[in-house]
Amino acid sequence: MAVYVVAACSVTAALSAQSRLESRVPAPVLAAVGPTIDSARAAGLPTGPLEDKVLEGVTKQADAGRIAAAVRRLAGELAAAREAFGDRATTRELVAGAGGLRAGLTRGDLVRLRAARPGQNTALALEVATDLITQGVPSDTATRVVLKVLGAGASDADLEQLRMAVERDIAGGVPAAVAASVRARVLSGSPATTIPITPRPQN
Amino acid sequence: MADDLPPELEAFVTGLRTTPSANAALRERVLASARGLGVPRRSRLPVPRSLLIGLAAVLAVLVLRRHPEGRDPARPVPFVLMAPKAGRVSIVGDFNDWDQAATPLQRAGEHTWWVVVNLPPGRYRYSFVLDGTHWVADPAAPRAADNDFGAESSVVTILGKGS
Repeated sequence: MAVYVVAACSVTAALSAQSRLESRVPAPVLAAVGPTIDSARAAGLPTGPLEDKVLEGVTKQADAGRIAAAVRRLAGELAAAREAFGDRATTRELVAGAGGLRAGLTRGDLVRLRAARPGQNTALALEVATDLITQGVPSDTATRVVLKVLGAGASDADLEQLRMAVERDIAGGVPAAVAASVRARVLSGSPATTIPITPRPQN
Repeated sequence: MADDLPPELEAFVTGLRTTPSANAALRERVLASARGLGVPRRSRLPVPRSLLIGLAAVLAVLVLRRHPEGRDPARPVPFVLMAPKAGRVSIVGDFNDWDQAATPLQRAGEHTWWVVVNLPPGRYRYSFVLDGTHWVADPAAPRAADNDFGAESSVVTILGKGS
């Protein structure tokens, strides 16, 4: 029975992907991305994120070569994330890992973040680390602060709170690395310090 | 219980308890009548059982994909953009196959555009499109790390029930 369910999942996934792309994607783009998506499927990688990338490229009017390159790059990042996390990682964890690698996390960072929450989904931790980096927090600092709050038993809601608090602090003029470190200290229960506010230039 | 009976009744009770064997001639007459009425001798499916199980599995997967009640439910997520000069605004992202026609925003006043999208827990990349040509990342949301096509996207994260 399990074999049938797995086979059914594969068949329905392939069919839905086909209809999802064929209705919107020009033939040259389909031809360019098809081999990568087929290889990813054969390797057991999630193809939904790759299809999203194709549709994004088509909507943004990118040419077939550029879309194919983006899909290949994402497939490589997903494969690297799976290498770091193992076969039991969820699709969202793999996508989060791929996003983290793109933002500047290393494979070692992915492994450490995953290990900090054994047996639990680490997608949000990876996503928050990635968001901190895109907001200007250095990647090593982002990894350190997320590991710190995870070490203190932070929930997903705590992680999201960290992300939003850092975002607010940065918008208020606090240097990104300082905001992340201080907020992590507060969330993990360490003594808080005064946040040094850098005044914004008045024009 | 038969042990409690007097010996003269024991043979009689044993006879009652024995299932009578069908009379072969009677049995043949009944079956012949049944065949005459069109009653099939045995209901047999024309396809192999394994094929039926496979089809049932495909059906189950399709139903579960369309009705994922077991997962966290979608929740309404508002998206707002200030775009005073735009004639029309839509939102495109992982949640609507990046389809410009799928989710148009409504104008509220002179400058503000808004829409509410029902999203299950997860993380989605998206962008606003002004007048079908001008791409704008959401100023109120984090930027997506990947920018493969030259127009920045944003990300929105929806937490699950147990978060």
